[in-house]
Amino acid sequence: MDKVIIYLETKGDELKKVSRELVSAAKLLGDTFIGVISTQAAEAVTAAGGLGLSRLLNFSPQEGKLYAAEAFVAELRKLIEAEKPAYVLFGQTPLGRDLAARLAASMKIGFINDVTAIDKQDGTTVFTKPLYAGKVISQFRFLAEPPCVVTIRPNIFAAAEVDARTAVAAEEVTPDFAVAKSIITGLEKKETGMIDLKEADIIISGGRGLGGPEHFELLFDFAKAVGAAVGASRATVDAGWIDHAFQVGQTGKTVNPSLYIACGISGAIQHLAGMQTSKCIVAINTNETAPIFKVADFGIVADLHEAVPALKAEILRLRGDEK
Amino acid sequence: MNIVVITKQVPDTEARLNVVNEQVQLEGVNMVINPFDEYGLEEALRIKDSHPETKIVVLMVGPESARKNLVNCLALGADEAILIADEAATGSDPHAVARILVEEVKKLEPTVIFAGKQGVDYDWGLTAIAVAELLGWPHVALCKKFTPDFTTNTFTAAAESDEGDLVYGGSLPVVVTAEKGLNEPRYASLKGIMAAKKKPFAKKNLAEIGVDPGQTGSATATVEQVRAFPPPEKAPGRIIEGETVEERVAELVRALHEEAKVL
Repeated sequence: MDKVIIYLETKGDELKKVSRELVSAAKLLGDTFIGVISTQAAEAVTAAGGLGLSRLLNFSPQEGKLYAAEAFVAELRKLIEAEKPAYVLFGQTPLGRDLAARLAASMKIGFINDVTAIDKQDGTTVFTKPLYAGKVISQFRFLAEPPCVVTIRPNIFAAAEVDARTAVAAEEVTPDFAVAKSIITGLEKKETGMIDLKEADIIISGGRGLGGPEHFELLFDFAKAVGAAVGASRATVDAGWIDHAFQVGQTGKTVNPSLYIACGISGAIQHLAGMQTSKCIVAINTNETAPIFKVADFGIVADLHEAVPALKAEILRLRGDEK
Repeated sequence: MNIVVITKQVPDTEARLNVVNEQVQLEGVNMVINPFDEYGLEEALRIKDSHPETKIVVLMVGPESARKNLVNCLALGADEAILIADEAATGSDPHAVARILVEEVKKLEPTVIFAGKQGVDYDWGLTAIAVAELLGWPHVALCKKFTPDFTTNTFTAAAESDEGDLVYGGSLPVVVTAEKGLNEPRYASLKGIMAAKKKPFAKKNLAEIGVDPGQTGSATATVEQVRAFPPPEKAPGRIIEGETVEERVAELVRALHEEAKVL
């Protein structure tokens, strides 16, 4: 009867998709699940309670004190002491990786991050993790005694459904922020309606072939109409055309959407490393010898300024036909 | 005031990597300073620009071949470099690397420690945070803006998240792990490259820094790398033909819908 603690996160007032994916990963590691969340949003707490948990704790954020790794680790350690879990699971998200690392450091326990598969091999649980941003895949196992810390890459495991009928009520916990010497005091929200690259189902990404920073507008227009996230190559970020938050690749984000559309991206190895696990890759480029065509499932040799609007229109037409 | 920059030697991001007998082959691969560490170093240099009395020490646990990478850091403006090279440290996990680094950090009594948010090799993102934990210091991970106030010994910082910028406040000393976008790293000047040759460079082994070799290396590792393999090969794709762009796009959307089933 292995227990697994899962750290659940919210986006706005909703449970993050990766948090539901953690439940599927946890089922490969144990059979009793204890959730931890930190939110003031009642609907997120209710949704979390319906994930098939035995307990749910809410580390209540306070005004001007939303999160502190040191304070949250102290609370997690109390919970670990009481429940003696085999694993503590986090999403490989900015806060998930922050808390996971500080917890592992604090307890000096095993830590494997950014996991994309969990398998049993000869009775040992083996965790798959891409290295060098995906140029190499590797398998790891824990040598240390439990509990072990694992972070899960978003968009890989199936998202568990919320079943409100089995919901457990949250136990409110007030973290002691006085122990923390670094505290998140606020959140400066981004423009709403933007889809997170790591969780996106469709990504349209732009490279130097766009011709200039103003042409990213073409991709944002496509993204808004179709429901996609916008990505960018390192060349465009380094040229100052777009913020680093959009960069896909080894020094940017590693993504794995169902559909990745590379527009005017030549396909440098550090870019390919960050997106080659996408289910389907489309390349649009005027240069038919561009390396991107080697990893693309479908390629179109065309000017992206013509092809992207046509693609938008065609996808909308397809969806209109389906309705 | 001292600032420590923790660095790591990693394969060049432009390098292609081969796997032979389930092991990654790094022989002949160009090794560079971890790109994220460069943002940490640049942030330290900017503090030194406005506080010239600052001493920047670049610290690395790594092989002897990393000397050239550390000399590059000196050329950029760091004041000293320390390379901890010891066979006994081979196979250390991030916890053990942090234990080694901390012994040297304690002697330097820095006000800020910078590091990259992760090595672009194993992407652990654990070592610098473990250093903070061992020192009993706070940390800011994935930092994209750092504003220290050395008169009040406090800082504010911003870090990226999916929802927007997380705003941090806290007290110094602190460990900061740099995200790309924290700053725009400078290039080394000819003067800097010449000056680097005369700057202090120390190579130390574990005994010299006061670490028991038995507390490091693969024998203390909490995880084991079982095997490595190349990513699965993709079947060759298809270039979609057609007279006009519209025709090609129409065929693409049909294929994405009916064959790939991703639309």
